[in-house]
Amino acid sequence: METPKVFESEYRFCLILWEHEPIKSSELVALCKEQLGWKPTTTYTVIKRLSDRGVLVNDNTMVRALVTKEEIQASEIDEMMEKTFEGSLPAFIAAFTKHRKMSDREIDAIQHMIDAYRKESSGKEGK
Amino acid sequence: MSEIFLEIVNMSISASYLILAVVLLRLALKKAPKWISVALFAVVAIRLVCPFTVESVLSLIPSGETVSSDILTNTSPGISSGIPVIDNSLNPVINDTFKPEVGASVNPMQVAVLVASVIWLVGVAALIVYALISYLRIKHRIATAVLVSRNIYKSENVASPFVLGLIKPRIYLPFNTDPRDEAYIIAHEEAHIRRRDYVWKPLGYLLLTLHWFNPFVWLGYILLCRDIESACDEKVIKELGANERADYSEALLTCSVKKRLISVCPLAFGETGVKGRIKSVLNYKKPAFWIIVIAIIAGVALAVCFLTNPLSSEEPTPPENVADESIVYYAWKGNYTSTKHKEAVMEYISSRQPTVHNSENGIYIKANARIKAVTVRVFSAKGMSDEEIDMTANSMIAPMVEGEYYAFVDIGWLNRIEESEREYTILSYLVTVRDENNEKHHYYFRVDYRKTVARDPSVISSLMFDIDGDGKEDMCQIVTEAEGLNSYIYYAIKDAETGEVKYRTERFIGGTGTNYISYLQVYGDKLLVVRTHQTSVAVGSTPDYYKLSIDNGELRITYVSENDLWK
Repeated sequence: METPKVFESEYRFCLILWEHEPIKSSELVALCKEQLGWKPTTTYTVIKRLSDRGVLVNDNTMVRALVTKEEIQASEIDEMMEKTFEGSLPAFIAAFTKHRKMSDREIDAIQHMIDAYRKESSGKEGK
Repeated sequence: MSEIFLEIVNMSISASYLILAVVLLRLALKKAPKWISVALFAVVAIRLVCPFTVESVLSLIPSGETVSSDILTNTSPGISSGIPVIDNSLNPVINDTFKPEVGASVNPMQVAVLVASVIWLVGVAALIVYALISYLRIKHRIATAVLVSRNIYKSENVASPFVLGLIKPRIYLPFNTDPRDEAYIIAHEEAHIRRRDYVWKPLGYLLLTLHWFNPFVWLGYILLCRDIESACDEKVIKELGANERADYSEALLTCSVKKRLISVCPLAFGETGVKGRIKSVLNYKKPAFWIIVIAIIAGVALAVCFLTNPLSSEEPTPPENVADESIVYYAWKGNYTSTKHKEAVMEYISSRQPTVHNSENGIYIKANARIKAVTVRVFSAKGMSDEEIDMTANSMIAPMVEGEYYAFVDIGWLNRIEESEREYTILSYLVTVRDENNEKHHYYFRVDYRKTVARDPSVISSLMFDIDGDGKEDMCQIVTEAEGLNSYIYYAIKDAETGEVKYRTERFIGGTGTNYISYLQVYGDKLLVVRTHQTSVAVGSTPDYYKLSIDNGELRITYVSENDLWK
């Protein structure tokens, strides 16, 4: 059977699991809160998801991994994200910048601008 | 809801002037720090949400109440935008399209405004629902975000870094963030947090939802978002050296380019124009102190000029010591030529207490006991005058019927009272009639000098009388409209509660013109229409009497001879 894929966040979860398994789900929840900052509901959801995917098994609140660290394949994050989520943020969210489809020419032009600036100012600072 | 909608519209219009001013000021203040730009939009926000304001002579807003709430009941609806060109071109059209028919139960303007309010509400709801759904989707996406340190999280479901959370804001980064960029990104997002942008942006969006119909507000929001980003950029880079600024720009560039993302929704607002930002970053110079000072002064001046309203020409509400129930807002629609040869129109405001009827020259007020005094006070934009002018000598007329007492308020006389006040566009009068039982009744009239009407005067009379015998008093109204030498009399019986017309009829009277008034009167248990032949009801002239009744579901008018009056 093909090794199940996990998202990066799920991978971090698995790291905790591998370190402490077999572990009671409630204790796992506490660890995830401490180390990952996850709400209990989130942890339980992830446990269920990974259990469906065959990565772990939840046997009467005892959680055990079914895959080892060596076997797991961290998935192509970008690829999965592309397929499921759009990238745009709503207007009322404070962001670093918005994604824009820029032509290669545009990108090069801006990069050029930055490089020129570097050269210019390093020239000044050199003095 | 119509009133709320009209309030929002008025605030929106006032704010639009302000937004234009802010846009211009922004261009002028390009060299000033961007946080000042953002602060200007805070002023806009106040204008968009706060219906209360101060009046000031410094106001640059053309009109504080372009659409006044009385447009719903006004017999000649119109707007007062404060810009004569607009008023003069729009008001005739509005008047023609939405003129309420006398005797009609539905005012077309009310319908139009109600429909508009509903559409507005739907728009607001749609935008809010969209925002809620987006927010929930993001929250769902980042549920598995992993804590990195402090308030920084990373997730595979984050495409570009952002701050989320109203109370405990958190920074979310993609897992694959380039470590060289990470410090700058975090610095920028921390700047957002320190500036509380995670609160201002949603608030701004909320205002946008309320004013979704106004393109200026959209423009304002787009520019606000841009300025917020620039302000954060400035906050970060002002401590950085040249090379670091270049690195910061690289981070901006990297984060804005994710070629592998298939769908990039071209949201117009929030588009932060990466090229423009990078240019600003690279060209950034600390603004001189004096520029900051000028910018702040300009901002304060802007607030004063645009947060205040112009001095209003509206009259204030009647004084508090006059009991509400005793006030009849009633006026008369028609021509009046003042001694200054200006035509003014007294408007029909409302009449729920029909003890008043009017004629070409004035208004008849019916009292229940002998009248002792009639006084009047004038309101103008300055406020109510202290002087109580005694009109008793000019006002009382002999009773036409035993036990009925009338005061006649001569409009011409009223208007002669304060000629100097006429520079204000609206004057109001509070007429107080005191009878021999020392009961006071107040009547409040308003004359709007802005409106000119060139039409033969109409005369309205109304009375509460249970005409259909169902135990409930009905609102009975007749309107006489003169047309050259002839007149029309319109009769309407309306439901006192809803104003719905239950019965209606009309009569054409030839050859009488304006020298003819009719009014309603109760004689014993009958409702009569008294048709006089002169404009002023002088003792000695004999009117004709017609009984109004409901017969077989129809409104009937039957002649009654003088002898049968009290039968």
